[in-house]
Amino acid sequence: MTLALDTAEQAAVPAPRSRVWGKLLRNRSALIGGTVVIAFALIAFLGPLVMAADPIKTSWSLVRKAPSWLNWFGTDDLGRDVFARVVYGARASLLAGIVSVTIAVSIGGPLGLIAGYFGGWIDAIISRCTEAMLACPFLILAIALGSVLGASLTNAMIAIGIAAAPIFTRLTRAQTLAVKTEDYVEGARAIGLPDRWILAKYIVPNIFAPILVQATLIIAQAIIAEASLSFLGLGQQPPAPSWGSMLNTGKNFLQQGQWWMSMFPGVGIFLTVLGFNLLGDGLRDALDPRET
Amino acid sequence: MSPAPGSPQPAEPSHVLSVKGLSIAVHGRERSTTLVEDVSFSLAAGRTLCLVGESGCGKSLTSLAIMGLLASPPLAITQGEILFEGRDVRGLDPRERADLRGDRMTMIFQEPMTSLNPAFTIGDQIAEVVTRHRDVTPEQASGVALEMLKKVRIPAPEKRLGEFPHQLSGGMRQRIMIAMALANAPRLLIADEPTTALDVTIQAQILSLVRQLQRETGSAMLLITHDLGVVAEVADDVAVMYAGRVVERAPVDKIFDDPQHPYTIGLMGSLPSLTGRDERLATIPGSVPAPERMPKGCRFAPRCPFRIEACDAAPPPLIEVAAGHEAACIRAPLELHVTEAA
Repeated sequence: MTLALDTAEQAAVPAPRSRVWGKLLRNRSALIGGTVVIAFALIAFLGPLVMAADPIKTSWSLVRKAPSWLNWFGTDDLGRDVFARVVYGARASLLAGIVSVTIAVSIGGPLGLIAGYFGGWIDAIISRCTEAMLACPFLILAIALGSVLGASLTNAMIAIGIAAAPIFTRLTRAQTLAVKTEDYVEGARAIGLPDRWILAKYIVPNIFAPILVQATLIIAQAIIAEASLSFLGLGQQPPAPSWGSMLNTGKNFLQQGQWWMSMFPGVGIFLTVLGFNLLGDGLRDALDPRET
Repeated sequence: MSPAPGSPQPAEPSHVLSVKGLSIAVHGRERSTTLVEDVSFSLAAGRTLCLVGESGCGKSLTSLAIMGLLASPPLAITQGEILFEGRDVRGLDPRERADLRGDRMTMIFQEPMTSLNPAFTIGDQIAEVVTRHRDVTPEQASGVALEMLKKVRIPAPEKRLGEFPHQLSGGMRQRIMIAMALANAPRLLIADEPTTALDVTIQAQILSLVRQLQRETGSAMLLITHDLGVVAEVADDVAVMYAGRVVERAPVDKIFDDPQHPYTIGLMGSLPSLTGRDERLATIPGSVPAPERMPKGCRFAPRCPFRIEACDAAPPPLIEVAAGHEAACIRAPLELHVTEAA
């Protein structure tokens, strides 16, 4: 008998990585979202380096001035440049979004992985705790935790991270449950691989995509949460700028028609959150193997 | 029943594997149901034993039990021993058991399309089996991977090493699975319906490849199948299972030339033949009883044309009808009764 292979067996399809990139670039919402996110990241991390204006320098002669050539976004009640504060505030917001989601994934991910993979009593304990935390609205939980930990940007990020962790526990657990019944996991056991090896090389890489999508979407929520905590005085502490605390101050002057103090940080929040949401949706579509 | 862990077993040294009186049950909330009962067979180095039977007869469970991969709970071995190289593997701790798997006993699964990790290249995956069990450098492991790819006759093996499973066809992936299973030159290779999911044209290639590599490594092979064509092609010995029990055990030529159990006879009768196409294919009337409603006596009795009252009394033991040929039928040899059944 001949063992030559027919040509159909040699047909190759493009590698997944390039396919995902292609789909991402063709997806309009992902493209717009990604651009907005990158733009804000550049503003947040490069802006302060190239900008002369000082976000905390007060001036008695420039209190509550409307936008002008000198102060593009106007000045606030202490005469500080709103444009400089929005740029510096972007850093606090993006940092809060990314750091708190990193915290949430590093707490929630491993717990979900353990619960889903090992099952049994350990799953029961982790799942009940997760459900208890999910019963409380995310923002309320974050505010409660933030006030317990004390008012600072670091504590706010920790509070948001902990509050968002059960979202990732639940997702990781569900994904792990689905992947662990795959034939290749059985195959990994059949070649004698230990559990930690199976978790690291067989489970995690195959549940990575949905977690990445969820993380992107939760960054948007974490930015809102940080703004909310700062609005309530539990986040970034004065005089350091934060979009949330700027909104809080700005709201006092809205009735006097001094809109610039609250509008610009509001637009900042709106655009970054929109950007992360669009990016998350686009990623979800691009990483979904069922969509062609 | 099982001996103390680690104690040497006085078993026939030539037998790589002997399964003795193996029973497997699924433990439900209210009761346990026995799915595999009193299964015994043994397998010598370099030999191929085919475990034949229809879906749900317990052949895959038996193979998973040998590998130590039964989903436990709810499945559990309730009785019997599995002697691998003379040692009862049930006495080993999970760590030692895992050390055996992929090294001295390996398995090829039914579904090549889903049995490879989509996140890593095939080179990584073959090398992984080697690094798990051998003290080798990553370079040496990739060397073994390349060598195995050549052995399973993958074209352009150097290029394939860096490819991902989704870039390969089913037949190619099954070759990769074979390469992984044989990378450590196992003593025992279990193949659970390795060709079921493949095109008919690829099936023959894969079978002859497995057969040839098995000869090279001198491994014993336990081949699980429901395809009698496969049996005829590769088996040395055959064990026919029906409803969780072995009903007949014989060398392959005896099974085809002189089947003794009515179920085996029925199976042979339902094979399509190249000649005499005008006849309808024979079928076995009725269906397999559900595990919780097994008859007390012979499990095939309700469907058997040779049934007599004594068949319902007790499960029939395997009776030697000729040298090396056993059938679990109290009426064997059946030639004596052929006229009454017709």
